[in-house]
Amino acid sequence: MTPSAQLSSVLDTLPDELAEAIRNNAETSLATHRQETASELEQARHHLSLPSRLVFNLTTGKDHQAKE
Amino acid sequence: MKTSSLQMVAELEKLQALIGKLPAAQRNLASQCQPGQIREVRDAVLDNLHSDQASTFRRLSCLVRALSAKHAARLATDCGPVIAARTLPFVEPLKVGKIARRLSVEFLADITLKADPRALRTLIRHVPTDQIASAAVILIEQQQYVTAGQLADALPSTAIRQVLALIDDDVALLRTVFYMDEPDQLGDIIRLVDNERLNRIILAGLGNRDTWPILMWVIDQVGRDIKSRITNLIVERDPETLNELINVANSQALWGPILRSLDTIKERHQRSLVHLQALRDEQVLEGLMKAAYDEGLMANTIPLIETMNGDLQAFVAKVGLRQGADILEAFIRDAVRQNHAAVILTLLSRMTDEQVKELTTLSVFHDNFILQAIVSAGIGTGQIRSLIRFARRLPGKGQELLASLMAADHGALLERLLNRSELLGDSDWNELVSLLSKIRIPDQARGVADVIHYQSRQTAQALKSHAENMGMDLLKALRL
Repeated sequence: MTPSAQLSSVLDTLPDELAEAIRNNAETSLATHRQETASELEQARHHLSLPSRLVFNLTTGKDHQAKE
Repeated sequence: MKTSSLQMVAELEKLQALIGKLPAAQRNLASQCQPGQIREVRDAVLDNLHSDQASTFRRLSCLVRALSAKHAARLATDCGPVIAARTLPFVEPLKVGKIARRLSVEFLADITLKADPRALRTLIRHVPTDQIASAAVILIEQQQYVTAGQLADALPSTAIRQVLALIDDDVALLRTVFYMDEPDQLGDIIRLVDNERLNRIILAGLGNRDTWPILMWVIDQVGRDIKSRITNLIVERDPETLNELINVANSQALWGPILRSLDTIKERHQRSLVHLQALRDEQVLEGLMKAAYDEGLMANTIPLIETMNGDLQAFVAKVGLRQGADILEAFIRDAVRQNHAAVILTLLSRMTDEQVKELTTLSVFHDNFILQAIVSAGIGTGQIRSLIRFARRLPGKGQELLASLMAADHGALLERLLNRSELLGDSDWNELVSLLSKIRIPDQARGVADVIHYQSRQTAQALKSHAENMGMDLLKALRL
C-alpha cells in the first residue's frame, strides 16, 4: 500500500468531518513540505562550490520538484 | 477529560505540530476516537511526507556515504537542516553519529525539528550524549515541547540527567514529558530525578493551573511508588489550592487519575481531603460519582466514605440516591466484591426511613450473595441495628430472602447476630421477631428454634417477650 493510500485507509476509521479536516491539512502540509524541500535544495546549490555543485546536481537530479 | 482524553490531547497536539491547527469543531470530534487512532494518522502522515522525493534523498545518502564525516558534515551545513533531516534516515546510524560530532548543537536542534521523529529515535544512541542533551535543552528553551517530548523517552539516562541539570524551568519539563511517545516509560525517567527536584517539579506544576491536567496525566502514567509520592505531595497543599484542584478536576473531568491514586494517599491526608469544602458541592460530588461509575472505579471511593464524618456521609447518601439504580447497584456490588459491605450499612445508617425504603427497592437486594455479605458485615462490625432496620424495610420478598439466609445452615447467621444482641434496642427486637416470623421452610424454622433454645436465658427471654407483646408465639410459629 502506498503511503497516501495508507493515510486514506487510516482516515477512514475516523469521523468523516475530522478525517476531512486532517486530509486537508495533511495535503497543505505536504505541499509546503515539497516547496520547502525544493527551495532548500536550490539554496544548497548556491552554497556549494562549483565542483561540489556538479556532484550535488548529478546526485539529486532535477526531479526534486516533481512529485514522485 | 479522562486520562485517555489527556492522552488524546497529547496525540492531537503532536498531529497538529505536523499538519497545522485543526478547526475546533472538527478537533472536538476526536473525543469519539482512541488516542491510538490519532497516532496511526500521525504515522501515516509522516510516512507520506518522508516518502515524498525519497529517491532524491536516497541518492544523496550514497554521496554522504562516499564522503568523509568531515566533508559530509560540511555538506549537511551547506544544504541546511531540511535536506539533512530528509537524508539522514537513509544513512547508516554509525555514520550519522560520526557526522553529528562535527555539527553544532544548534544545527542538530534544527535538524530534529525537521526530521521524522521515528527515524531519530533509532539514531539518537549513536550521537554523543553531550550533544543530544544540549540539542534537547535548546528545543525546550525554544518551547518546542512536542518535538522534545516525542524523543524524551528515547534519550539515554545520562542525557536525561544532563537535561535536568541544565533546565531550570520545571514547568517546561512537565510540558515536555506530556508529549512522550511511550508514556509508560515516564516512571523510568522520574526515577532519574532526585526527591528534592521531583518535589520542586510537582510544586511548580501545582503553582500553574494550566499544568494541573498534565500533573494528573503524570499520576496516571507512573507506578504506585511514584504515584504515592506525587499524590501525597499534592494533598499536603493548602485547602484553597486543593478545593480549586477539585473544581478543576470536576470541570475538566479529571476524576480518573484522582480516583486511581486514592489508595496511595496516607490516612491522615485522606481525612483532610474528604472534608474539603469543594466536596460539599452537590454538583462536584455528582461528577465524582459519575466518573467513578464510568471508569469502573466505584470501589476506590469506599475508603473516602469510611473516612467521612456522619454529616458528610449523610450528604453522600443523599446525593448518591439521586444517581439512579445503575450507579447505586454498581457501588453496592463493588463494595461487596471488595469486602467492604459494611460501608453500605454505614451509609444506610445516615439515611431517613424514606431514603432507606427507596434504596431497598433496588434489584441488587434480590441477590443472595449481596444480602449475605451485608448481613455478615453488619454482624462483624456491630452494625446490628442498621442491619435490622435495613432488613425490615426490604420489600416483602426481600425480607423473606434475608430471613431465610439468617436461618440457613442451622441458623448460623442468626446465632452470630444474637451473640451481639446487647447492641439491640427495644424496637430492634420487635423488628427481629417480625423478620424471623417470615421463615417458611420447616427445616430452617427448626434450626432457628434450636438457636433460640440454646441462647442465654436473657436473650431467649427477650425474644419471647417481644414476640408475646406483638401477640405472637415465636417458638410455636417456628415449629410450624
